[in-house]
Amino acid sequence: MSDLIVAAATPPVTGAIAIIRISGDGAAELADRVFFPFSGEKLSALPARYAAYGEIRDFSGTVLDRCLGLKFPAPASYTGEDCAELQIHGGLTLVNRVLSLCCEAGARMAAPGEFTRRAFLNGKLDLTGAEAVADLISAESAEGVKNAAAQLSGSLKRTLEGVTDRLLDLTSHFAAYIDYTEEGVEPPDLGDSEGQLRDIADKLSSLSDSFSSGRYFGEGVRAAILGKPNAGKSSLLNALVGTDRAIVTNIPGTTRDTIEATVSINGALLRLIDTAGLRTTDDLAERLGVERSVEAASSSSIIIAVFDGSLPPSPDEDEPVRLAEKTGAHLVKVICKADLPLAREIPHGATVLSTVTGEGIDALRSRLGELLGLGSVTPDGSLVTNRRQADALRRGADFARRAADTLACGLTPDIAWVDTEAALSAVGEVTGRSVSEDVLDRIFQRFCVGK
Amino acid sequence: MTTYPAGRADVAVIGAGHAGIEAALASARLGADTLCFTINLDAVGNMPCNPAIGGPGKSQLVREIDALGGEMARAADACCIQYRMLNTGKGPAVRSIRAQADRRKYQQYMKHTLETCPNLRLIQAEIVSVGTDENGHVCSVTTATGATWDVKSVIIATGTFLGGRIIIGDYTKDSGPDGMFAAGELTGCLEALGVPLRRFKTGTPPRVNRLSLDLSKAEPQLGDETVVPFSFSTETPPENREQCYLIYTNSETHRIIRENLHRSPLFSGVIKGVGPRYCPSIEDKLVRFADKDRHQLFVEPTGLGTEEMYVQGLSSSLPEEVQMQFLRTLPGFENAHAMRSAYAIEYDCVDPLALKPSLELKTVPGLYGAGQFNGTSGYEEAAAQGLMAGINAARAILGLEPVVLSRGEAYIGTLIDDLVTKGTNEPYRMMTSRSEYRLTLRQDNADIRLLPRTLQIGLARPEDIARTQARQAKAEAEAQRLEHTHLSPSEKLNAFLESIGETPVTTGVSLAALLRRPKTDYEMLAPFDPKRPDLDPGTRSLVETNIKYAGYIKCEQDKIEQMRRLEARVLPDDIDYNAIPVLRLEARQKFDKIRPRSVGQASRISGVSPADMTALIIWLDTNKK
Repeated sequence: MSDLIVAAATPPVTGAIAIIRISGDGAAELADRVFFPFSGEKLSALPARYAAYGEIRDFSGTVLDRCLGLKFPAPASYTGEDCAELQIHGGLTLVNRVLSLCCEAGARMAAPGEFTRRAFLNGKLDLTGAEAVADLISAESAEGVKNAAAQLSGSLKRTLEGVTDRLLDLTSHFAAYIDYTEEGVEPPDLGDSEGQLRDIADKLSSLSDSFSSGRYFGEGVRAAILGKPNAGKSSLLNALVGTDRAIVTNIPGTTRDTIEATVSINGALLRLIDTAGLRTTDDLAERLGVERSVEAASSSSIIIAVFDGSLPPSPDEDEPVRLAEKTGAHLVKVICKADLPLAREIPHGATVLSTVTGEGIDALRSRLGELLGLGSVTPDGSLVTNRRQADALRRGADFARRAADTLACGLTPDIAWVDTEAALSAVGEVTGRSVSEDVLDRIFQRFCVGK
Repeated sequence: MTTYPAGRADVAVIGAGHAGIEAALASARLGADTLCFTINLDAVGNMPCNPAIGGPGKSQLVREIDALGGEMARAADACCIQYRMLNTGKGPAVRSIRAQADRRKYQQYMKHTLETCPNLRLIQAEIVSVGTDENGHVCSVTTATGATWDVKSVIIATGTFLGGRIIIGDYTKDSGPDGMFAAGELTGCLEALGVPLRRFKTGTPPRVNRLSLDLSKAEPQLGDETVVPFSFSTETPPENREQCYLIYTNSETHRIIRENLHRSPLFSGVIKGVGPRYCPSIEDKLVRFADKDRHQLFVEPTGLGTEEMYVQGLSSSLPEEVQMQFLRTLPGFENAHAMRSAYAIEYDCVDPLALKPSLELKTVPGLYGAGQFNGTSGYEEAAAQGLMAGINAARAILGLEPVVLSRGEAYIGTLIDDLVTKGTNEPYRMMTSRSEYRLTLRQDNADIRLLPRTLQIGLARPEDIARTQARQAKAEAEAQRLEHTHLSPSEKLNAFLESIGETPVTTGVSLAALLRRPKTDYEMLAPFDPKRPDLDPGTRSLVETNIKYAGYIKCEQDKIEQMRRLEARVLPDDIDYNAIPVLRLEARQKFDKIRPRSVGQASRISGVSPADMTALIIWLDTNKK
């Protein structure tokens, strides 16, 4: 027996068709809850591998898409388990919406490599292709395990740390009360615990919902272009966007406010923010602009640091690098004005380009595309941008709510403890923290127990 | 030292504490010719710390030991003098028995059990070396007096004796517990065999003469009215014959301790061993919880034939004179006569990551570890490992595969998996919070839950197996009956439901469905269930729990099943992880050190990600031939 997982089988780019794959016991039955063939029959009742035409409806009955649905009963499927596929239209917002719907219907977002892992466990994957898959996975894993928490945006991280802390308090109190039953640990206040759990559930739900709101795909990932005045920031924005969105002059300080433009790279949206040059100035309007630049940088996931290649390095030009270190944003270094004689060495990993000749622009685009494609870049704010995270938080919310319910209806605290712990562990999937050790540490921090 | 050939045997167990006893009994009862060595024959089954067995997580272990055919539960029921069921109001998953033991009687019972066990020879001797043959396999043990025994396997269950050193203030002495000799020489031999050793620390409180105390100032702690025994085979529940007392420390106690903190070896750096957070000394508690104005202490009897009382919660390594001063600040202790001082003890133990899940050392075939030697704390934890080490040592002699219990089957499996997969930096104590399957791994179902394993191992007595099978059948029949007995809505039923705050029924309802409601229990439904069979309380509560928490138990079962599939994929012993290019360096190093036995175990190693696992599986599959 295996639980139901769902993921998009096609890459996260806008294409004509996207495939949503569901695997696990009862995959077709899960599809029945969201996909309705026009023939009136259920997908689960139709023959295997028959492409049924129908529509996807959410639980309020709203039609999301017209598409094809197929089922692949075990063992003749990709994973060797019962599978179902929905071939929908390829908009990223739609893909996202349908995945969320499948999760609401009872599936869970697949962990990285989970489909492949299941296929392997069931002896389904073609071994000649497997080596390549392994390389790919190991590359992803190197990126993925760097530090799950470091990939969270600042305010999301803070919010989750707060939630984790409260869940740890609740879990460790239940644990100490039960495991150190004779040692004078005050019983948890069940009414208060219930209230806290409901509050936590609401917080987690709203975080999870922030993903479904589609901001990631609708508004794009924020990338701030920073650099000294007249380094070529506005020209770079124009070159990437292809229009004269920013006023480009060679008088330093022309861009006194931030200017935003959206570009599509590999189907993912990048929201470019052109900023005032970073320098100390007496001009009030320009000073406000500089402050806004710093603000824009701190809410961005990518910082594009622009240096003027025709000038030698200056001592105050590394401010963007420092800002990136401070905020944890991904840093992309660009040396502009390659059409002029170079007056400096090229730092490792920097992209050299000219907005006049167009040289290097494509290289920069593909560098930005890589960052977006890795899924390691997140937009600003307390927003969840990764489906797997959104799903984990939704499960966390469900567990917290169930724990509150069991307390409310008078079940024994061991049950609420199990659910509180499950909520903590779901949040831990996002923050990358291991639960059991944290709980133990918290017990011995808070309670004077042990004989 | 001249040595002489003393004879031969299959298995030698070093130590006759709680781990050594179970190891020796299991090995001998499974048919292996077994030797059990102890430094002092009068210390077999000693309880050098708390004179009690059980508690949350631990009583589950005792019940599992009982189910698999171990001795601890039966010995406890024969020798315990006060029983309490803990956590009764907190849910069936965490209910636990705790009992006070008659220390001397327990030792006598265990010594006699060892003496009368076929295939088993109990010998007083200090083992100074373990010999290996040209293949590095264990082949002999040698005693301090020169006897060399040819053996095929050795189980180290040395407790706090191995390199033991006690500390009381600035007094230190190489010693085992309770003034017994330490085992000083074996450490060097183990180091020479390449066994990674380290030093842990634990401690014990003072003992006082009851006649010198005024216990009218203490709060008596009585045993339960209805005693629930540890062993499934105990038919007549033991009686409560003693009581414990609750007292509290006060500001004067704290003043004396604080003023003398600088004399504590814990803070001055004399003690180097790592102590458990689970057993902090009183000075530790005062430092870490400075705002607490009192700490609770239990005054516990240590047996029927003695006035010696154990003061639980007052563990200390402060100088003796300071101990005497603070003891007398306690209520009723004004004239206390201390019989033994509190002391800290340091000892040598193995890094459990060097062990296989069978408890055999990875690098020394035939050498097993159990108990405190493996980095745990507690009699129950020790006994559980001793049982498994004894079973696996005997099975190796018989040419059988080792038995490894999984986390989903038993607390014993959880304990050993934690040790060999995650390691431990302090003496490891079992708690219910260690198990992610605690609604399934209950003490009330240990016999039925472990029956397949019990049959596989073959240690349990036929009458115990027959009793478990009968109980299983009765429980299943009763569960079926409750599912299929329907009540129609009646005024009486609805009046009852409303009186306990449950919604009335409008249609027919099964007894099981009523039982699943949060506020009902089996007892309450009696007036509506005239035909219920006369079940023993244990089976009744088992059925009730299984029905009441069915939804939650089902979720756990699903998780256990998923894990079982991963455990079923065994990783070969000879993988060269360092030669797997697709693995991250950290994953490579961790796999190489821990050498997981299955994909399931590998996935629980800290710092290993799902992607690492996928990469490993794929690499293995592509490079199989």
